[in-house]
Amino acid sequence: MSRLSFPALLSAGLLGAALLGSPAYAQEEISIGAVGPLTGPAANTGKDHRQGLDLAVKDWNEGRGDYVSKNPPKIKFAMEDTSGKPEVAISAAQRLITREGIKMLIGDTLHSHSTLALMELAPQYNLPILSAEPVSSAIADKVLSDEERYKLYWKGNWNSSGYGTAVHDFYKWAFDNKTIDPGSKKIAFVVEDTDYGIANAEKIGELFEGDGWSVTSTETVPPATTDFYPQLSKLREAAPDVVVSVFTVANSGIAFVRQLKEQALETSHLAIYYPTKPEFLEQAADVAEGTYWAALTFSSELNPEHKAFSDRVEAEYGNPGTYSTAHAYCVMQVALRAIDAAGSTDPDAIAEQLKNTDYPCVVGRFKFDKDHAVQSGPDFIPVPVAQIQKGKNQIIWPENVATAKPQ
Amino acid sequence: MSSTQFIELVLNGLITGSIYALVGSGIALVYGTTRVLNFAHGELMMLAGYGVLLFSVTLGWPVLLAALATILLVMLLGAIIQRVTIAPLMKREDWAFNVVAVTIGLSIFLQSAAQLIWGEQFQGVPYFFSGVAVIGDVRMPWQRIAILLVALAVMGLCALVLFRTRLGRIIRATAQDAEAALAVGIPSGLVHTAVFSISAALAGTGAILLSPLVTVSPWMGASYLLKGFAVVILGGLGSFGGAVAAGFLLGLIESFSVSFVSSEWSNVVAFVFLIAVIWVRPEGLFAGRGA
Repeated sequence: MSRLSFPALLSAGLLGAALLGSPAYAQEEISIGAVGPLTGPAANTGKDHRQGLDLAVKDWNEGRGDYVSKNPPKIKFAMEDTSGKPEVAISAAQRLITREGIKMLIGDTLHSHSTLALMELAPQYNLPILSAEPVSSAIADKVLSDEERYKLYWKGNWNSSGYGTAVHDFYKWAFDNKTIDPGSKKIAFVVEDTDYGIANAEKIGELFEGDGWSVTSTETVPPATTDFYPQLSKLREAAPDVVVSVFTVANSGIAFVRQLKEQALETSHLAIYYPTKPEFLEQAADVAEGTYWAALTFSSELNPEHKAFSDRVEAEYGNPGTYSTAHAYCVMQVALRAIDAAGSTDPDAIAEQLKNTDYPCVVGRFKFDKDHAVQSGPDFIPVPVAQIQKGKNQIIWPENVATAKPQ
Repeated sequence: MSSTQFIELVLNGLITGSIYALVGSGIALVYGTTRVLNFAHGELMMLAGYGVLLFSVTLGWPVLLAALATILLVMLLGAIIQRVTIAPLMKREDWAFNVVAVTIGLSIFLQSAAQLIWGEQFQGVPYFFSGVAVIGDVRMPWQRIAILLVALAVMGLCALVLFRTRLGRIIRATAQDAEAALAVGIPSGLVHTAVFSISAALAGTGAILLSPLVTVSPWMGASYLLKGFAVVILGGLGSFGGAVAAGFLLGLIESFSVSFVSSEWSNVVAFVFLIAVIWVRPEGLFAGRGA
């Protein structure tokens, strides 16, 4: 055996010290998986999510990340399709866990009903899971029902109460300043038959009922429904003063707004979620004039930071960024920073860092509440109400961030 | 229920039912003649949607010309699908299950191909007929009225061909016994192809009429396929007239159920009715009364 020289020993010693001092993940890429709808009626939203998640990983791996440590890990990212179905979401996630060896799951990226199923995988596989856009309060209620069981699950969006409070407070403000006439105080809902749609209707209805309103009907329709004439005939008989519609698929929203106009219902209409989709205004601008909607959290027309983000997405993928792209980007940033701060892939350490998250991103400030859901409101992720005026979106509430007065 | 709501519900039921009838009668025609259940029928609707989008919106052709070009295109596609994927299988002993598997595979392939070619977006087609007809308190857009009228005209034309022309007699003869038809000189293989083309034309007509209302996407035909099959079972497997009648019946049931119960129960009511029919009359409501 030859004798080792001093420089060789020194180098070996330094290398060894460096390896010992580095976080456990320094030797290999960390795999993160995501599941969301890449086919089916919600595929355009899933595509936006994939771009946002991918862009965040690309920024991270290419030295443009918002790092916590000086030695951030390299990330490998893969996304699987759910077709918008919980059972497919579960098998897609299991594939990522067993074949790709993911250390964290972003899922579901859109659907609350899939997330309610996916969150069960957190205790089963001892895996941190962070959902992206789902808002149903049923998810947070489930966390609160057994905090130990769901200690590794975190919800990257606010609860339905965020929408509920925003819609209720906006209308209260509009009634008080005589912008909208409350009439005989009747409210009706036309929502998609998902946990998302139903939870929003329940929360908003509850708050209005607290003010002495009555809920005349809650019509739930299958996702991607486009024929609302039977529902509108029924609503016309009930004559509600406010109609709230909730759909995650843009073509449902386009059809609903068009048919509402054709039926000439004399009511105040507030839309939830679907106007965030660019094709809504492209195809329904002629009939959507005056429609109120929530929440205009991302607007490249009104916010220079959002415009810069949208331009980056366009430069990278050939299409402008949307709210869904931006939100997915932020959720991945939150996940990456938690892994970086944890210094290892230990699930409990990552969950602890998610709990400590306080991160200002392009759509707002991400800070989790006790129920593991991101907080909403002016200090966190804002939930502003917009109105379509002259074919463009304008923020009309809260007044301190309004870009136009309601018409 | 006011008289206005009653009239609107009848109209809505007939309009929705006319689309179910168009889709279902196409499936019934193919099944009645060839005993093939075509699970890719909804994708013919989808392709017709993209056809009308191309001709009418992208190329700016007049509506009638765009509609005719679209129907010819889907008829051609229907014929190609039958000749390339189904006809070779039907020469085998075990074709029945294989054909089902192939049409399901074709459905997935066409949806995925459409997503790759045209993307995930919902693409709008402007209304062909603008304005709203107002009679008293009843309001109905001309576009929706046109759906009912055009669908009735197309199905009437189809029935005329089936029951009053030589081609119709040939189709019905092949439906009764393809081998016997072949023995008397009827080219049953070509008849099968022709039937697929006619079925595609019916699906295409439905898609053209629906496109302005539902927007065009790779998945636009999927939900109508399920209703189409329900209509075929309700009307009696393979009965063209039965499928037409069942389509209108299903549309009316769905429309009226919404007025009595919450919308979430509308499909439940419709399918409970379907199950009840199968229980009482397994051969369907109108079996044995048509082609």
